[in-house]
Order: sequence, then C-alpha cells, then structure tokens
Amino acid sequence: MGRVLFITGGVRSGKSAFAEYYAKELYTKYNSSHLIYIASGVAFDEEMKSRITRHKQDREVSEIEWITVELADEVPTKLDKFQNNSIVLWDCITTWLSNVLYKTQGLNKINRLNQIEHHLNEFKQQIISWKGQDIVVILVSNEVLDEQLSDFSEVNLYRQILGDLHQWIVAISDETYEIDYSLKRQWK
Amino acid sequence: MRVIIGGAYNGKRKFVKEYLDKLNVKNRYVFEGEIPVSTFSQEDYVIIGNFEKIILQSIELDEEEHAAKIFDKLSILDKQTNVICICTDIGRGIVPLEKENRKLRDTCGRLYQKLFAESEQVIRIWYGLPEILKGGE
Repeated sequence: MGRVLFITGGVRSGKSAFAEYYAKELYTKYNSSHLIYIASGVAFDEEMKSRITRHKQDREVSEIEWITVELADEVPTKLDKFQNNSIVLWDCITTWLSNVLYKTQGLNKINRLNQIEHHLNEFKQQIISWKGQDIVVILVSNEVLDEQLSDFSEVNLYRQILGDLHQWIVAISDETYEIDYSLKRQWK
Repeated sequence: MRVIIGGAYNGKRKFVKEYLDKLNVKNRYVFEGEIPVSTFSQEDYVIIGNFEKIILQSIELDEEEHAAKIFDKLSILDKQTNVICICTDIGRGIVPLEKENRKLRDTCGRLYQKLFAESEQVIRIWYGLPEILKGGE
C-alpha cells in the first residue's frame, strides 16, 4: 500500500527543500526503484524561467537521480505506469491548479466549471490509484487562504477550489506538514 | 463561548456541524453576518459566522470601540446560551490597499484577540483537522 504525504507553507518557507529532502530520505529508506519529480511550472516569463532553473539545478546536484515529468494541466494516463515502489514528488498543486484555471478561462461558466471538475477528478483518481500501488506520493502546496476575500471573482474561485482540494488531500493523507520558515509541524 | 478559527475554505463549518452531531445537539441556530437579538435557552447552540460582514456594517466606528461593542453583544448572548463563533482568519495576507479593507482587517484582529482571551475553548481548523489552541476536549 502506498502513502500520501501533504506539505504546505507560505512562499519561500522552505517547503520545497523539505519535500525534496524527505523524498530522498524515503527513497533510500524504502530502497525505492525511482525518484520522480512532477513539475507543473510553466515558464511564461523570465522570473518563472529562473525559478524553474533554480529548482532544476537543485535536483541536478543531487546524488540520487530524479526523473522529471512535466505536467502542466492534463493528468496523462501514462502516469499510471509509474513503477511500484517509486517515490513521486509533485511540486506544486497551486501551480497546477492555476494552469487548469488559465486553460479553461475562455469557456462559458458552466462548461468551465465542468472542465475544472473533470481535471480535479482526474487528479484525485490518480492520487488514489498511486496510493493503491506501492507508491509514496508527496504533494506540495501553498498557504494562500489566510486573507480577506479578493475583489476579483477569479481569485475567490481559485481560493475556494484550492481550499476544498486541500481538505480532500488532508483527509486521504497519511502524513501532513505545515512549514513555517523551515520549522515544520506535523498535523497528522 | 467557543471559537473556531481558520483560513477561508478550510472546513470550519463542516467541523462545527460534525462536532454538534457528536454532542447530539438538536437546537442549532446559525447566523451569518449578524448577531441575533432573540432569546435562547441553555440547551440551544448559537453559531455565528462572517464577522467581516458584521464589522462592515459599522466600519466608520473606531477600531477598538467597534471590537468592544461586538464583543459585549456576544458576551450577553453567551450568558443565556451556548455560543460558537466561526472566525475566518484574514490577518495573514498582504496589507490591503484600500483604507476600508485595512480597517476591516484590523478590527477583525482586535475582536478575535478578545474572543480568544474570553472563550473557554479555541480550536484552529487546518483543512478539516482541528488543533486545540485553548481549553480541553
């Protein structure tokens, strides 16, 4: 039986560093077959490009080899074929969700909500299917819900979907962590 | 008085519902954005949410005075019945540009401080998981 781990934190809180460290530790501990990184960042500007490069370099200097899988929005079926006994790190869910919202922006409201729902279902099914295999999945996300309602309906829609998704993830997770500037606290 | 605090869409209301289900509470009265003036009994549970809306109704008042006023109303209510306050934490984001939004956020913070100090129990909800900040089970 696999495991699901959930890690959140504010920006630059050290959550990615902790997630990568933990992924490698579990890789060694379980004598895993593969260490897989799911990247959801899209390089739409210079800052995002350098952010991605920085994360890539961090993984390249690692003594254990990472296999990187790009996943912008659609959850591809080939992900099912990850071998049992792999460690999968997905960093991060907020970026993936932004891509989904961005991609569906041109649709009318009902179609759009349906499409978003479809993506969320694919996501959930994938996580459950990994959990059923002998795969350890580490999901990284952001804390963005501790502020006032936005004046922009798009932001509020995003926050609502993300909050609901986080609740779903926490409910099925085996371990959950909230990172506060490198201090981690385990909720579950 | 009890306080349930957490960010938006973290499952605070769902938690309260399940909590009261467990206690087998039948008489629940939910108010969003208002503090009721009617009378309740010791068996009733009065759940109040959306303090942002309550604050916005008299945003012109001084922050400290405003928070004290709302708190007094809750204290009076708490003497006759069981009060659960659902507080959305809005104090951790970027300082809002608009003056009114800044005042809302500040007043909310003042009010929550008072509620935390005077409540017998404070529970933070993080995506459905409870953490008791104050008071026992």
